[in-house]
Amino acid sequence: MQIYLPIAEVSVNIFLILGMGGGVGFLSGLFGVGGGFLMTPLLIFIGIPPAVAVATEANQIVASSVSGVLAHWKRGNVDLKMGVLLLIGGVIGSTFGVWLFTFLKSLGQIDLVIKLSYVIFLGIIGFLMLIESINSMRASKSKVRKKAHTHNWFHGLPFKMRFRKSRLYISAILPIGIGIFVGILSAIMGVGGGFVMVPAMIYLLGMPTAVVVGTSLFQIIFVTANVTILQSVSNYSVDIVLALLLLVGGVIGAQFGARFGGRMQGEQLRGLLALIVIGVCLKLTYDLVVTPLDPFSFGVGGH
Amino acid sequence: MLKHLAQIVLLPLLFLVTAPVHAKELVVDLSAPIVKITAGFAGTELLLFGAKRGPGDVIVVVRGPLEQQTVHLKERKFGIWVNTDNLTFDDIPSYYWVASNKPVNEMLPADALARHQIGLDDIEIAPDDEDANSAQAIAFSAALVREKKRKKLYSEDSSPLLFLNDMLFRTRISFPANVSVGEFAIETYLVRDNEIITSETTLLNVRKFGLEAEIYDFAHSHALLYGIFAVIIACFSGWLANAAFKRR
Repeated sequence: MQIYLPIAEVSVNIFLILGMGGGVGFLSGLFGVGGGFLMTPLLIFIGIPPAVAVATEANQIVASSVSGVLAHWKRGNVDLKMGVLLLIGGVIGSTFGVWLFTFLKSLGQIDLVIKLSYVIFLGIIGFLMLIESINSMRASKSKVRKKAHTHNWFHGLPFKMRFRKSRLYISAILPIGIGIFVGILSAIMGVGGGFVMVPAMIYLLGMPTAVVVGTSLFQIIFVTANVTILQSVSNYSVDIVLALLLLVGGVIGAQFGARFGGRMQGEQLRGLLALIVIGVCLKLTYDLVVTPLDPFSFGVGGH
Repeated sequence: MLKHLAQIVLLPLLFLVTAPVHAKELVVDLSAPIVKITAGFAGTELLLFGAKRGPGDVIVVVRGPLEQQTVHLKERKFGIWVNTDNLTFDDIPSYYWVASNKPVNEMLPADALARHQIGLDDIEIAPDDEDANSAQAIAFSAALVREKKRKKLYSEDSSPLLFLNDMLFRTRISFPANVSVGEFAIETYLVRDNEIITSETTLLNVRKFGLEAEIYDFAHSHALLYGIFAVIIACFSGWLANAAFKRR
């Protein structure tokens, strides 16, 4: 069944969109990532104009994150204090990111910058996560106990705060810094940024995996809500019909994902996410390297 | 369809009655004067029918509203494909379609085809700031036509136009789902002895209708409110899904 999207101005199959929303929503609930890094390329692949795909995806991530957060909240897996600090950083970062985006656009190679940052970030993070989860799976098998977290230079930073939910006593500068960094990435790459934030919280801050997922979803809600409104005002590129279809599939998928994730071990979860991240990275690299069918194409901004 | 049939039957009668007064040699009409883009729109077909007086061939050319289009060229740099060059074309037809009862170059000499921009080889696609005859401009405009054809927005060569007898003719015009909105001009030419005897212009409106149009208008006229609305709907559906699952 075909439906015409009023803002994207293309006709799409309803069931394809619902299925994509459901599949990506499941991963979103499972890993605490917004799913934008999967959905945005998928939407562009089925013919949605890139500008509309990026903006509408932000809107959909709001819904799947709200649904995910509520599920995690019930189980007490949201560190509100940490989430607010990440959010402050996120607002600062995305504001700077939008400025950077405009600057890169004026240089004329925003397309390439976006694709390369996808390849680089997905590649590094996926590879690091895969190695880590293999190591920790081996370690738990041989029953060698690891220290709760190691002490690094950043434990000497000022403005220390106690995060009871995360069982941490660290400087407030760290979560704000991560928030800024993720905010910049989300403005340039058009994603929620969970795939960067989740590993940063686990490996840099040493937060327990269970709390990381709910807390990162909490931050993503507000950053993507901000992006949705900004995009609506500046580019008129949020397609509410497409977003509704995606989120019907997405919110249901996220519920199943969150439940399923509760029954899985942290290492397995991380290993699986690593494989998906590496898969998307390889696909994007392939697209950059392989000879296109026609070297000429119509100009479309974004991805 | 019955209505169309009635129109086809009645048209020549009308033509016979009015012909002596106006001495019109060509009458053309469409099965619908408007293309409505609604929620279920997945492209559409229109029937164009008409009648001519005396011998001659018929060419129908449909032109969509003008648009600006940038074409990019990719080249391999350091192993990856990068946009290295681009050219912007102003005022190219967003849609272009031709139908005729035999190939247009068998009806009209090349200069007449060029003058009336009949056929894909003869539509004016010139870059806005460069010499249209440079090798580069030719390569880019050829690429533009290729891409438009791929999107079914430019017709391949010429579509068939059927003569029902030596007076009546009809043809089908197809519009893909990604067609631009705006005013389309349908030009029908009557050709006799390598010359255009007369032509008729029929206007066609392609418009968004119903909820689709309202959403589009609201997004443009109340952008901030639209954005806030989108966020509220998203939050509500997230909560709704969660509540629905809790009860189970």
